[in-house]
Amino acid sequence: MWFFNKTDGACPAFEVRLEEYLEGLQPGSVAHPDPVLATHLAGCLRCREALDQAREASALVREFAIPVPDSLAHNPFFAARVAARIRENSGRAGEFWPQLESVSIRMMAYALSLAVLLGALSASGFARLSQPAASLRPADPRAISLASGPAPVNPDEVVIALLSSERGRQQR
Amino acid sequence: MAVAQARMAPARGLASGPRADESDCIRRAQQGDVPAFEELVRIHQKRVLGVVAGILRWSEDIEDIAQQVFLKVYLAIRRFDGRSSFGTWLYKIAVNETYDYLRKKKARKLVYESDLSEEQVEHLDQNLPEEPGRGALERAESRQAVERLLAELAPEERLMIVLKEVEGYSVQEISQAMKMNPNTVKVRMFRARRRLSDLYRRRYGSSRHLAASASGRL
Repeated sequence: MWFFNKTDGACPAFEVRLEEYLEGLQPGSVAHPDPVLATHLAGCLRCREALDQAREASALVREFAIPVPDSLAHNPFFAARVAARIRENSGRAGEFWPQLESVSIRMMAYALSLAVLLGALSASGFARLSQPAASLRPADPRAISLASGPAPVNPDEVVIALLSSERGRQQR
Repeated sequence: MAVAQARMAPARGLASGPRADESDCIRRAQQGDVPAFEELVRIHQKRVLGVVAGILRWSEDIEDIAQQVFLKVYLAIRRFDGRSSFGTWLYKIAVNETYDYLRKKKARKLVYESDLSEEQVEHLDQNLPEEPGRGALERAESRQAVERLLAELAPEERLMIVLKEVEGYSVQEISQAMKMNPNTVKVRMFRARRRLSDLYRRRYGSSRHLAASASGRL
């Protein structure tokens, strides 16, 4: 039957029927294909060859493929190992949430501290921003002589005025 | 003949209705009862191992993957709504999980990588009924040859053939586990068988050597 192995396989329209025919075959039995398939097989070399090949492969696998050994299939410890893995996994999940909770509480505390710090810094920043205007005002208006001219209009003039005044000189 | 018939003894079908205690175990497991889930593992362990081994054949990771399957099933069991049988749902997860493992490993020809050692063959042989008149060595060689051929098939083809011929699944059960139309399974299975036969002929010239002894059982 292996003399015709140059065929391209069974006719696609008959593959399902051929498989059903094979499935109906029990070891040692001589089942007959349904009439439609039987008629087709009688005239189709390709399908006959494909059927023979499939039967051979089926017989080979049934006979020689190794089933799951009983030592594994009926291992009494298998279920216990699965249960241990489940418990281990649940344990990890159980540890995870409290850890996450404590981490989140810690993060919140950090965030709050940071917010307070930023608030304090920004408040002092505002205070400092408002200070230069005050410092531009002469510390002692009397230090500036009226005779020195018109009132200063910018900080440089204030400084110059201070330096040129009596008190300014003494301070230097 | 006795060997083949013993091997062909059909396993409990997926489609068979759930056992009363299975339904109870499912309900309890859905509430987080681990011992009830352990009972479900005992009921389905052989078939899940069969599915995993059907794809991976004799990789050392079979037991580990099967455990991983059950762990996934436990974590997802609350979502099991009973529309399909528990077995069908479980075996689908087993198929997906094993394919995921294969994708991660990117190893298709696992048997070549971890070919059976003489010790493994001997161990496996001890688990099978002895057939009088046949040399243990000859059988071991034949098994190795068939395992190598199976390893050359695509995982999907290998799984179909092993589930059908070795684990005793019906086409209906395979189609449920593999989420395929039964007719698609029939066509692919038929082609997979032919491909296996082609591989054998290409490697060994003719299938006389093994087929002669096996065909007497068909």
